[in-house]
Amino acid sequence: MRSQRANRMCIVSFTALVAMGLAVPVSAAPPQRIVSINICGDLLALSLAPRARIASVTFLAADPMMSPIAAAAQGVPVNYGKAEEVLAFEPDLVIAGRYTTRATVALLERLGYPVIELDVARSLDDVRSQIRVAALAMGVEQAGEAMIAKLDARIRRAVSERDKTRPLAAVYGPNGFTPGAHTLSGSLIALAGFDNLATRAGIQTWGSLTLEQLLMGRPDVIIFEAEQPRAPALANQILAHPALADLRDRVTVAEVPRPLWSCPGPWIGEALDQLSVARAAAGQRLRH
Amino acid sequence: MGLGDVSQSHPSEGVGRYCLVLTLLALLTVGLFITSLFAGRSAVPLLHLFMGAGAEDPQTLWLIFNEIRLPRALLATVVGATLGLAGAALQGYLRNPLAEPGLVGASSAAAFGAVVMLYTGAATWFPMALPLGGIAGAIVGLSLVSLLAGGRSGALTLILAGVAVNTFAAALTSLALNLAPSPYAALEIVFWLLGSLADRSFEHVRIALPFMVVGWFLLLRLGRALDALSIGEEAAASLGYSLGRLRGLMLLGVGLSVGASVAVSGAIGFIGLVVPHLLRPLVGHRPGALLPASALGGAALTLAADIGARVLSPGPELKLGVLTALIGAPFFLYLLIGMRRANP
Amino acid sequence: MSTLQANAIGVTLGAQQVLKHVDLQVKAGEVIGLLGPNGAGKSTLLRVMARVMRQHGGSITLDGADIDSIPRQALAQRLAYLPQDAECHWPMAVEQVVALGRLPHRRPWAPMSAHDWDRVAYAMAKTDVEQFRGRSVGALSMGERARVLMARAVAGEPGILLADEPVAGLDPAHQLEVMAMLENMAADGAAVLVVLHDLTLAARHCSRLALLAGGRLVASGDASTVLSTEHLRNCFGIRAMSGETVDGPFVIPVGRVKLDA
Repeated sequence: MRSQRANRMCIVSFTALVAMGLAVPVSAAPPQRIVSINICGDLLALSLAPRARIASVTFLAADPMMSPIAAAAQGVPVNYGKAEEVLAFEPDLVIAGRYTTRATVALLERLGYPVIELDVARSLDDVRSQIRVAALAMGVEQAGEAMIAKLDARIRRAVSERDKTRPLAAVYGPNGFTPGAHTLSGSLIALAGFDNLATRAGIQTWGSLTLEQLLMGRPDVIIFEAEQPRAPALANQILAHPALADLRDRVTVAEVPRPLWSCPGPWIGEALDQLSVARAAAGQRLRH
Repeated sequence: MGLGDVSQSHPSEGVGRYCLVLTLLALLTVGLFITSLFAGRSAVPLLHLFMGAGAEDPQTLWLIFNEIRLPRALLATVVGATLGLAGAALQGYLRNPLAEPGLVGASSAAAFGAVVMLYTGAATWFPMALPLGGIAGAIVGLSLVSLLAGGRSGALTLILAGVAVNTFAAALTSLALNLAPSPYAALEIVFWLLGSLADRSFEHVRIALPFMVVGWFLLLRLGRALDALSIGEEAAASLGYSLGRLRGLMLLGVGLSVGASVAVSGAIGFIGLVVPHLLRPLVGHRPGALLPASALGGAALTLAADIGARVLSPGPELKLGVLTALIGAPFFLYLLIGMRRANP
Repeated sequence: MSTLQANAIGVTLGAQQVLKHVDLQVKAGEVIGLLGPNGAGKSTLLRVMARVMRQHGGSITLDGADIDSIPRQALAQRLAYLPQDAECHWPMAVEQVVALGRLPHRRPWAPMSAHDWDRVAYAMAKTDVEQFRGRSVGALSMGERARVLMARAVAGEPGILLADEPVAGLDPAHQLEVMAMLENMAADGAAVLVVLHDLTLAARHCSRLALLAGGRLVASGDASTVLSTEHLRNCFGIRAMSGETVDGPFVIPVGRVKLDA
């Protein structure tokens, strides 16, 4: 199952590259002016490619609320995802996302620019294949493989530290959003050794839990996606509800910054480590 | 006239009937309040908790009951009472059965005021800023409509003035949400324009209730003036009621109560339109007597709609404002058709 | 025992001066009939005297005191104003409408007392609307509604009653009844000022008449003085037939007169 999906991803993306009229054999000169109009693309470009070859990333890459490597994005020219901005940079590679504005992507393709699209990563396999696809397109395959190797090592370590307990975890974000098994966050939760309350509630990708559902589910661990700094909004009010405050005394609470597990990259190892710590704490509590 | 109108020596049946109406409404409200505490998915475990039938994890159940169910039911009651009372007061003052806080621009302007306070972070530092923002918005919106439509306006002028203020306020609210720093803000317009009572806490009750109570107090005292107003402004003035003072108290009363209510629950529409209209025949069409009845009726209807929002949907809850709009909009059309038939 | 006095009243509405230097006194025991052509300023004068409108010049005194020094509710207890064409916006029961007249006398939050209902019943009897007491006021004819509103004004036992064309929509029987009621009120000590168009009613039931034309008080006194041929011609533009019967005087307009420039 896993390798089939990974293979499919590679075939699709290679076909896409060829279909762009690029006809790029792998040994051709790597792109020199990479423009990314998608946050995950930004992060991969900044982590894999040499700085000099990055022409522009989105404004989100330098925003600590969305980017785990905001400091690294400082000084890189910024775009807001609009086609005319992209054109101004004269890119030889554009990295978009599956949910980037269709009109923008269609326009760029029609004008003959090479565009690769990164899908939303829903599993560790997706993470690996996306790193490979991006690395291939940017001409930095070795850096890509090295990143994957390091990540795998971290994952192996985390898995080996698991004990037999499987505490029940619930991720609770603004508006009560919670990830199911078929998401990157959900995969990491499973990998860290948790059962996911969202799955029990029938949520497969992303869904919402009411406060009552959360409380009645009686999780052992509640994981909040911390946003620093948190701008005021109704979505965040629910996280400050007195009912949750009361719960903090009886349940292990962990906070994983949202940027750490939104996009493929080495930072998800950091997220995994934080989850492992929480699981260890919960496991201790369960035993007593 | 009003609550105290209970003369035993007068043989009129109206007095006894009025007490009966109020009592029934109060009982209905209490019944719905209790139902609201137990409605929804966690119904069965909560019932077990109260019947002492060995509920598992009573601590969590109590937590749900005290911190989620109770504030929600309380808020539904006081918000509903506010909307019913303000609607009755506005209809009495404007002598127009189409007046209600939503239609005369008070609710949407209050939403704008609250939005500014919330999304700029003012409410984070100073929680009372939220209801105060709503109150300021409501008073400004009402003043504008009253300026545009005046006291002796027909239905058409009033509706038009209300539409103007509503549109403007909604536009400003959208703008404010768009410019807000939080990425969630733009989507939250649904809450502000439709209203919801989901996941409210005692904190919301605490910051809004004092202002609502003051507003109720101001409005309930106006019962006699509204009665006098039914025979015309000049006659009312000659009966000793200052029209300027009446207008000021109306503005303040509606502004305080509706402003605070919208700040914590969004703009819930149509309660203030439907409830006074339904209850008016039951209180002998007296505007003063309608005030307390409408408050109780508003509480009852809002509680019922909130229960409906949780029970009627198999999936996620419906927004409260959707339900009240589904009840209220056809009712509004029916009112308009009736008025057209009466005055062709 | 009250005396309401208007001194040198001037009122400007928009660009027009509606009242110019009008003096009028209403004393207890009197029924003053205020007459004049349309647009003479009669309603405006009544409004000013009832404090529903402010005058721009002159003053109003009640028993010698400046009327503005009297608190609103106290004034409402002593003075009742019945506007022209009054509406009744909500279809309340007749007895509830009449009970509105008791509002100035009731303490805050106090219910209607037995005395209050007593006065309401009395007022309804005097204006012959008792049989409608429980009916909705919206179901009555215009004349019946007018009587209900008159009952409202009377229910407050006012020392001073200012009525603007109270008999306008009534049938002859009820016109006579209302005028008789006003006379009785005056006899009981009230001061009554009533605007009328019917010259015979005015001549017959009022103790004094006042004629207002073009914003000025043109004449004041008994019927023969005020309703002289000259005044009738100059102010009303009519010729009238007048005389005495066993029941009282009559003045009947019979023809128009061209007014000299």
